[in-house]
Amino acid sequence: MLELDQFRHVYFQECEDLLGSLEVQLMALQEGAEADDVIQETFRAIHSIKGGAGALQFKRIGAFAHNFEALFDKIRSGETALNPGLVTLSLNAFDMLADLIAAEQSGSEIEPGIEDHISEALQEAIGNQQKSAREDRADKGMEVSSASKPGAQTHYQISFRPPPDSMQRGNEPLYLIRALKALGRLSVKADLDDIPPLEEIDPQAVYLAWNFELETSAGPDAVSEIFEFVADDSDLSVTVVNEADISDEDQIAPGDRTLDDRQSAEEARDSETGSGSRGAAKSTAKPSPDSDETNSRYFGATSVRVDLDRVDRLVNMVGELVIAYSTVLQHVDDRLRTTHPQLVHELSQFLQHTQTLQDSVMAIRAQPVRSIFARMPRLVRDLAEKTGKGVRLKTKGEATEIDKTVIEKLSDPLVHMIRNAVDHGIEPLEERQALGKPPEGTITLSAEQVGGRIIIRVRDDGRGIDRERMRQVAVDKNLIAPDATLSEEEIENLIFLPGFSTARTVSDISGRGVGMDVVHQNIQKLGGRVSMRSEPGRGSTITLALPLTLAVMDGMIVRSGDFVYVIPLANIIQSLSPRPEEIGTLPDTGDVLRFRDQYVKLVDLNDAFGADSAAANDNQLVIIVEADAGGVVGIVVEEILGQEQVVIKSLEENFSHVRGIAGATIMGDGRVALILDVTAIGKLGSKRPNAGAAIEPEKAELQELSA
Amino acid sequence: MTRRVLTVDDSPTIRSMMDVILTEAGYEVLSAENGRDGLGLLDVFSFDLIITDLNMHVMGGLSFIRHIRELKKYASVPILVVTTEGSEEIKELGRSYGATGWVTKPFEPEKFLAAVNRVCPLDEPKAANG
Repeated sequence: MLELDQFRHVYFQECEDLLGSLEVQLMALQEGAEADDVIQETFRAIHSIKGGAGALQFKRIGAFAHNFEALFDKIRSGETALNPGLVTLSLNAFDMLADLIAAEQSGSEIEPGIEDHISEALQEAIGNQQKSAREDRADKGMEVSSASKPGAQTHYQISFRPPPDSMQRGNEPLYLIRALKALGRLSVKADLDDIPPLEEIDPQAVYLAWNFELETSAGPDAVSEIFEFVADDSDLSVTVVNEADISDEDQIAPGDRTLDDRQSAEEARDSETGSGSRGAAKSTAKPSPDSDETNSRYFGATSVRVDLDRVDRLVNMVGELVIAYSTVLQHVDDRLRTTHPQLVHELSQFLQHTQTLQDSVMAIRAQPVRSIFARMPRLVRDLAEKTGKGVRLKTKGEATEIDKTVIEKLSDPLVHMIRNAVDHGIEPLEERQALGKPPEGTITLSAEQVGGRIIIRVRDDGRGIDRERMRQVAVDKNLIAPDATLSEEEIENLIFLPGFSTARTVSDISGRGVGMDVVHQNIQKLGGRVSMRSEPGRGSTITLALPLTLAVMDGMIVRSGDFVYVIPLANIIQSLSPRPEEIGTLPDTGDVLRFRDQYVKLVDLNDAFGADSAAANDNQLVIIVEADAGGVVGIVVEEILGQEQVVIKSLEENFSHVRGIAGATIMGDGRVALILDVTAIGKLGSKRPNAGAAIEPEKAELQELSA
Repeated sequence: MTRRVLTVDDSPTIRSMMDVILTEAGYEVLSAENGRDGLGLLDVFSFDLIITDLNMHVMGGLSFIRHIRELKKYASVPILVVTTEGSEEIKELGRSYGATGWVTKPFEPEKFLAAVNRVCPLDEPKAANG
């Protein structure tokens, strides 16, 4: 018996894709698309979900999808006209279908009959109660099979004349004869009468006819089934000449023992839906019992689906390989270069291959952002409905590829950002009209690759940020000093501070006690940066800059005091060793360095992390990094140790979050180095009065970490 | 003698089921997710049987069958269409385009293999005049 469980995984994966596509199509219909291909695509997606459900015997999904499919079958044939009511019904049906699939996948209970009212509505929509058609047919099939008595022997006389073109469409009579033979004892007599003279023979044509005598335990349906494909075009008769051993008189009604070809064709169709004719099938080909090696395997013409765990294992192994390589490299010194030049040369080859391997492995994990973008139209529609605002979503750059892990973690922040845009950004209809804006707000979601980063933007054309209010709230909440001087940009980015939320009332949509700081934290965890820009009255843009991959990073290794740190190379603008007179002090900011005509705040890592300051070093180095929102910060270190590709290890499984630290890595020599979160670095010792306090508890952890 | 089958269906679930059933029975199976990719494989490999769905995205089953029949190499290769139970018009339509027969979803492995076996049996070599 075929083990169905092995296909579950493939099916649910397929469902995920199909539901995604279905959603996109339904949204298009919602927006008034009536193109045939949209309807066709909708039908196809539901049809495939139903097909798989049938194959895997997920009866509930299958039955529901059947009703859903029936609606779109009518729509695509033009029998039923699409209207907004039906679109809404379809969206509800979509949700139901997704729930049923999710329940089946997780094995969780879902209230029996919960889908019934939608099923009924779907049936009503196409104007009939047509559940019976299928079942009728199935019942008929069952009758046929239950009527056959597998134990008893029956004698059939069969005459068969295939159409002359039989072989040209792939029907080889010889195979049919073999299949008959497999049913029981067979004698064959060929009818040669129609063979034309040699010169008239068409080698492609069939001129023969046959008369068979068959002694078999198989029922008439099994016999007819063999001729299933040719019955309609052939002269075929199947006659039972001896039914002595058949006890039930209803096997074949008396006086109707000759099944003419018409009837046998009917029979063939009926038997298809039943479960009869096992006898015929068993004798032909047996599935081999050892199915292990073929488990859950399939060939795709151009792609293979691989379990993400396996890819992750591969990524991890490549990561370890990179570390191992670095370790080996530690032993390469000038002496070795002279004594074993060949070895050193091979090592550099090894490096190249390792890097290629790493790139290739990372590419496996890359996925288009389409998968998460596709969920957003639905979100916007629901939000628009809830708020009574008119909102449309435009998406761009769905094909942009990004690491799978990043994609997974991107979904929640994106949802949050879009919620925020609908809730706080886009104005109510009347307000927009009063302002002379298009009544419908537009949110644009875009993705593009810029250098080694993926830039994702959520732009709305709403009211923008009320900077005065933002500032006031921040002061009220003691997040900034009342007299702090902040640039417009800095004010706008206050929104990302923990505990900041300007919503006057807690709304159902975005005010759930979490604010944009959650977005900020999540993106930061991904090694990315968030920034907000706004034009009052014209809208806001939130920009996410994300790394292409999470696992490996090019970093500059620096030392400050007794600690070794890694600064992401992607953030580094320049490193320099300033003369003492180039460093000044500003009252609010502390030490600053003049760099490219602006004053750059300096952060001393020893101070920032509360490490014991070693004797102040005169020749301090400053690494200028790009911090938040295009801001620039100088990091003061004592020594640059080199440049290395590091494998990022998360610290947060073992330690609580330390501001300014993104993770850790193991160096070639086995030492642990902390990876700096340059986004947050600039905020260490910033203008916020509580910033200093916030660092206090983190000092202890850092000490612990380095112990 | 190995029998090589091409299965063409846009549903990975259905493809993988056909693949497992056929492979366990002893057939060699290659799959494609639409008619266009199927034609690509037909060009590169030789197949003894083609099983195709009709409703597919890039190149549907009917035009796929029409294209196959235009290829000299496959003018008389058996083609089975995948149908849902009871869809008589689909079977007829398939035949009118040159399909040999059909297999019915959901698959019962035995019935499925019986149908396959009637047009492309494993056990004996294909007759010389086929």
